[in-house]
Amino acid sequence: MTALLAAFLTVAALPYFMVTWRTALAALSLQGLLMAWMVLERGPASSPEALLSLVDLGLVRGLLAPIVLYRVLEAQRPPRRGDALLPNMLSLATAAALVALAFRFAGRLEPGGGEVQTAVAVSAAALLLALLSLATQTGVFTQAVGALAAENAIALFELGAEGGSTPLPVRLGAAVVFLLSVWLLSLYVRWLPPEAGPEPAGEGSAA
Amino acid sequence: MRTERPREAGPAGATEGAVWPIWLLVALSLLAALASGVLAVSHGTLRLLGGYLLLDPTAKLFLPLINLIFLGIASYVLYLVRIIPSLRGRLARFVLLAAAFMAAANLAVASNHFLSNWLFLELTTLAAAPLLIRDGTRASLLASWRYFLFSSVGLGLALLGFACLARGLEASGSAASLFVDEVVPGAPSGLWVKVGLALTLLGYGTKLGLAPMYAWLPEAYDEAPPSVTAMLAAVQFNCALVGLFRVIQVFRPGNPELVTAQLVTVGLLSMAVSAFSIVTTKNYKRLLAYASINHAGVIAIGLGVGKTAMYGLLLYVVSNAFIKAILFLTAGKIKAHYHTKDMREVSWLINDLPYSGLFLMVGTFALLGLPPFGSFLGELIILSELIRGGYFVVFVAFCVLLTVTFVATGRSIFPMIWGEPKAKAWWPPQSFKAAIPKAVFLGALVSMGLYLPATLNDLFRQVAASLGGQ
Repeated sequence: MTALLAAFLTVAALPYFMVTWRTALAALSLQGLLMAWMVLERGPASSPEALLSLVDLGLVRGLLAPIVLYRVLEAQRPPRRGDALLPNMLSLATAAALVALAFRFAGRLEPGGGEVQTAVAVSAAALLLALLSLATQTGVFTQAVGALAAENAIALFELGAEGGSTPLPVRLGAAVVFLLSVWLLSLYVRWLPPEAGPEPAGEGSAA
Repeated sequence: MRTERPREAGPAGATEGAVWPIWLLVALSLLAALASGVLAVSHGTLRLLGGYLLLDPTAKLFLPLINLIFLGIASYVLYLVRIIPSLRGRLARFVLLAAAFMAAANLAVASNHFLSNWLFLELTTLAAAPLLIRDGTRASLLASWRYFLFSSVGLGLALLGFACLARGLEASGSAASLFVDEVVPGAPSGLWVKVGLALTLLGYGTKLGLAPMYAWLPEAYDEAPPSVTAMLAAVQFNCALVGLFRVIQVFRPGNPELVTAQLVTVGLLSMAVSAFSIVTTKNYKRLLAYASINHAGVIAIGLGVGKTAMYGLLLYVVSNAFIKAILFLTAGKIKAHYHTKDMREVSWLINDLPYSGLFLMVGTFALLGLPPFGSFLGELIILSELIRGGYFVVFVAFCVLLTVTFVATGRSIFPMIWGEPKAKAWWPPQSFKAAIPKAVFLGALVSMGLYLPATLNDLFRQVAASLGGQ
């Protein structure tokens, strides 16, 4: 499990170093597939909860969401490069500081250490990286990827919880909501292509 | 400039469609309003669908409120599509999404599980986001995108908060159930609970338009069609608020300082952002949007200080739902006639569009918290609790920000109503039929300030008590 968590963190950080939109989608896909692997590591998916997790994480997050966005982007033929962060040392240093902060904070939340602490640290780091990308980028595609990465980080956090207090109908509902969100995100990426002109100013558009 | 005739007849060759879907929506919303009204006067608390739905005083107060407001909005849209055939082209889409929005809104208010409340709130967002888009308008598309993005991230943080709260409950030895009526109020208060509570308040604060996650709100309220803005400001706002109430009612007793500090801070910050923006804007729809941020700030402060402020807070919340519905529908009417959102281009409304002028005037009085409206009494009660609780710095900041907002709003809006006419204008006489929904809202608003029936007053007191009010 710890190796999978390390792989998840690597994959979450990948789009900040290999700045193409294809890498961003591949990273999203790998995040989903790694989480599905984590579910399988716990044992055979015989319960409805485990099956739902596999479908949600492996199929929807790992395959469907990236493929849908890939098809939209491929049709738009955007530039190869698609920064997830502002391309400067300050952004990278901030990202590194956020990862370090996430690990320190996880140490306070789960002082016992072990896999639970690592899971908290990795999900917190992935979430902070996604939020940093959302805060610094204005492109619709980059923001959509940032939002999906944040959702994946939250899913990883929930996966790391030992208990599992969420009833099945609510989990099913959450999976449907995620599916609908992916569909809507892909529509926005289609409607607001990257090469579109400057955004209209709020006050200036009053007339 | 102002001699141009209003666009009531619609563009030539516009697509016309059937009106029956909107009749169906009005009928459904009437049924929902009647059913929730009957429910509000029934006794006891009902637990339905295996405990997933809870009809307690909070649900009994807010279900009739959101359904009545939605009935008014649907009736307003019905009137519009009857006189403007070009609006019928995408009516079926509007009706479908609005019906889904309202179904989810009702379920969100009645949810007894924190995550099902979150889930239905997400569904209202998914239904509302496409409704914000107007044909061929990139600005509305961008506004819709930002609304969707901020909502998704905000609600994502709230979901993470709930996951942390569940861990906190588990760590403290309590059952990790997130059913509202199963969590023992005030029991756990470890680090997980504190982190969870902070994230949940931040997440729900995004839906309420509280600083720092308010950036989506002015743009969305400005660009959306008026009926959709009213739905967001008066219906969805209250659904999110009910979710926040549920969190507060369960987790405040164990963490009173954290809740008070966070809510009062974001409340004051929101009021400051709103006051500054109201001073600088020249767009009357944006001004109303900034006023909504101000309201959210007042509500956060009232909720933060609690105790006797709770009753005033509820008065303020219910009054504001009506105020926002009146003002945003009226702003849409003004925009449709003047074809501008620039307040400097609009004047002498009370003569040009008498009903709109009247609603804007009375709505602004209520917005500014003048007597005899419920918002006045609500604000007064919250202010007195600030003094009683010893929050003197907050009291001073609250009063200063409120005064700035008051002056800036009056200075901007009143010239629109009574200002010297800038050019000759001719409008067709306004029909009272279009004004009926707003007149009903106005009646409810005024009556709340003058006389609250005993049954309704009891309901207010019960909800206030469930939130720790005295």
